[in-house]
Amino acid sequence: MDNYITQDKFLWSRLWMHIKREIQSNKKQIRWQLALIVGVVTITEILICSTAYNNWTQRDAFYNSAFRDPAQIPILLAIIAIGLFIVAIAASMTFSPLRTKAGKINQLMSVGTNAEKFWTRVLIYGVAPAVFFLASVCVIDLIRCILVDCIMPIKAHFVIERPCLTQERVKAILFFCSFTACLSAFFVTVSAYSPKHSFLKGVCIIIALQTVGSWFIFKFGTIFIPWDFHLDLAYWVALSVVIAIATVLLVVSYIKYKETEL
Amino acid sequence: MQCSITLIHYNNMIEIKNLSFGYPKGHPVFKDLNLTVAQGGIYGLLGPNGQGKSTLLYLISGLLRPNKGEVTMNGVATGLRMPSTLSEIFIVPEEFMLPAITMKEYCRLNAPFYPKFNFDELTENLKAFGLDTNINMASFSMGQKKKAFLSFALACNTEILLLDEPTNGLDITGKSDFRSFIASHMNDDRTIIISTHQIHDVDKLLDHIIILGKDGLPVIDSPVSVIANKLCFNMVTSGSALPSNEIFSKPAFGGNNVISIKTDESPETEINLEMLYELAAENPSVIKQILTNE
Repeated sequence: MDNYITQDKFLWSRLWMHIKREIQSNKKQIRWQLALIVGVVTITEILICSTAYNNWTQRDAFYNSAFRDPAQIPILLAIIAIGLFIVAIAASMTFSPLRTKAGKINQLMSVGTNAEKFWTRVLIYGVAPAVFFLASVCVIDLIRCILVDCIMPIKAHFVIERPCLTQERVKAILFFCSFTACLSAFFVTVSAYSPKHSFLKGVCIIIALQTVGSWFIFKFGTIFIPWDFHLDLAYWVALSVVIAIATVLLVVSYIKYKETEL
Repeated sequence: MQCSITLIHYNNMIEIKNLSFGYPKGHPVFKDLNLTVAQGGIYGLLGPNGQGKSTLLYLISGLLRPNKGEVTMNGVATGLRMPSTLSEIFIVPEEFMLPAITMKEYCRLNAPFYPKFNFDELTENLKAFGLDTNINMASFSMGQKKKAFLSFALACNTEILLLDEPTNGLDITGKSDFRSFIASHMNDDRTIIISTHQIHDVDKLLDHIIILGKDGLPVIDSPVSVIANKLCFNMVTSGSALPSNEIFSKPAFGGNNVISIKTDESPETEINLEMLYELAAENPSVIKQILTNE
């Protein structure tokens, strides 16, 4: 049968068909998840802006003021923490259908290459929630600024400032994105190896690794880590390590997915 | 420039060669199993509980991979799960998942993956089962879900259709509808393998019978025509003498059900699958010898 759908190579069109099918088949669940993210971001924004250093009537967009005003760093950290939590939960659901026999049959028998099916789930559960979270933070913050401007108009109207991308900011954003990708890849891997209770298992592994790491640094840190390390070099080393870990984790989880049997 | 095209016709669509398989932490299910499934026809896969009927279906579909040996479909190992293979195999397992969407929506999303999908056939099947394509499948009962999934599976028109206990959960009319659907959807290109315990639901449909023995190897692997040519299935009333060439008998209401070796004078009889199954379980060597003798 001369039909593109039966071709054995990776096809972008088939990947898109898988994504569409996954979203449409679980639209109710995905809609609820997205609503939950928007809700969490909205509540966080209201709570943070009304209780923290600057109240909600601040007219400046958050992404600008956070970089400008060191007092807003805790707010930034709180939003990052919530974001990472959401990313971790979503990524741990990547291979949740593999929990049951019926889900496995459904997943493994769908027409497509292993890579297409793998990336469908990673994109929907590992990448999309992070992007959606970031987008919702920006949009909700923008809505807040516009609302403030409408409720309490002043002579100089609110102007949406484009974030000023200095080298430091680009580096910070780059590292944050890589770290998020690494965390997401970690939970994707846990989900591929053990789809049942993968979030809890992932958290336990992180705590265990952190404990071992802390003990290791406490015991041997002064011997192995050169404390006069050049800061700029340290940044690039750390970034490379984070990206390398994320890549290795994704490769490992792809191999596991490919080898999955009933 | 000369171009030569070699066309290979695989009459044996599925080939299982020296298959050995066992679940981790479990006893081996198959050891050196050899089996071929030809293109076209309905295969009945029967056997006692835990003898690997479903496992064999999973191995054929590529959901499980053999520990040793190979399972190929048209020369390609099914365990590789290539799109070209997956688009020609459909499995209806005992337990399956259907999303909470309408059948119409389900078809819109899943049918493009099956090049020979026929929407008219699906509508026809669903109509006969008394289902509507516009109702959300979340509201279906288990039996209705099975009917919907079976209808979709048949409409996909894949070369291989694997059915694991297809009549479980179906009501009486559903079972009868299932039989007529299967019969009406058969063609020379399509192979259906049915694994079941409900012998009566499928006995009239089968073209080929495979009965697995306790060692996981097939006791019977013969076309129905061959079995009908070699064995006679009769009911002998109480008081009448059993035929001299009788090989198996079992008391039944008003007499005995008897299997005897067919002679030139014996009339052709309808296969009693239940009796054949019991004979295979009780005396596998005898039936094996009779059916393999030319």
